[in-house]
Amino acid sequence: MTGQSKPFDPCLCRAAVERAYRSMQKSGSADSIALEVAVRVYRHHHPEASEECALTRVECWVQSYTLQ
Amino acid sequence: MTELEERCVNAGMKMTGQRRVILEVLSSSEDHPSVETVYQRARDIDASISIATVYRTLSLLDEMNLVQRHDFNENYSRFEVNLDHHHHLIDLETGEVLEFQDEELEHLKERIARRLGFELVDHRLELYGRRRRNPK
Repeated sequence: MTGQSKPFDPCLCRAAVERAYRSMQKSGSADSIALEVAVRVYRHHHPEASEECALTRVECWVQSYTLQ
Repeated sequence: MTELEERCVNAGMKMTGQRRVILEVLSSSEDHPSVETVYQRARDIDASISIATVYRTLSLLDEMNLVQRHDFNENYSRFEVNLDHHHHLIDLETGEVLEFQDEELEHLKERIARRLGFELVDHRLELYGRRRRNPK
């Protein structure tokens, strides 16, 4: 393992966050609402994370679904 | 970006300037405009739009279930944005999103607004939960 590799995240929240975001988009919700829901899911798994920190991480995860 | 435009992009529709104008016309219409009416309103914004473009765009939106086509016993169809009113229940553990509609809830919202002296114009509701271990 190198010092530059991504930190291991044993939590499975990323799949849940991305699923929630994609599902909200598919149901016709605006990106901003889908993001809000995804952040709420993230904070359920990581209640210790601040709102700002959660938003930054989730935005990074769902970026590929919003860039079209 | 209008909500309809966002929905079109999310559904994979390629966005052009003329389509954007047509979507803007549909979003701002409070009636059920015919193709001809959409065309006239769109031309007021962008004179280069042809009726063929309006036909094609409305047909595409209809196929994608983003507008609703009405036939009011006339020789032509009228269109409105398909709002498909529903709410969401989000499973916090898995991220699963369940869509639901509930007549009782609709009445309840109206009653609350009325009781507080308001006419309900818009609302949004998301429920968050976890699957019960032993559902009865």
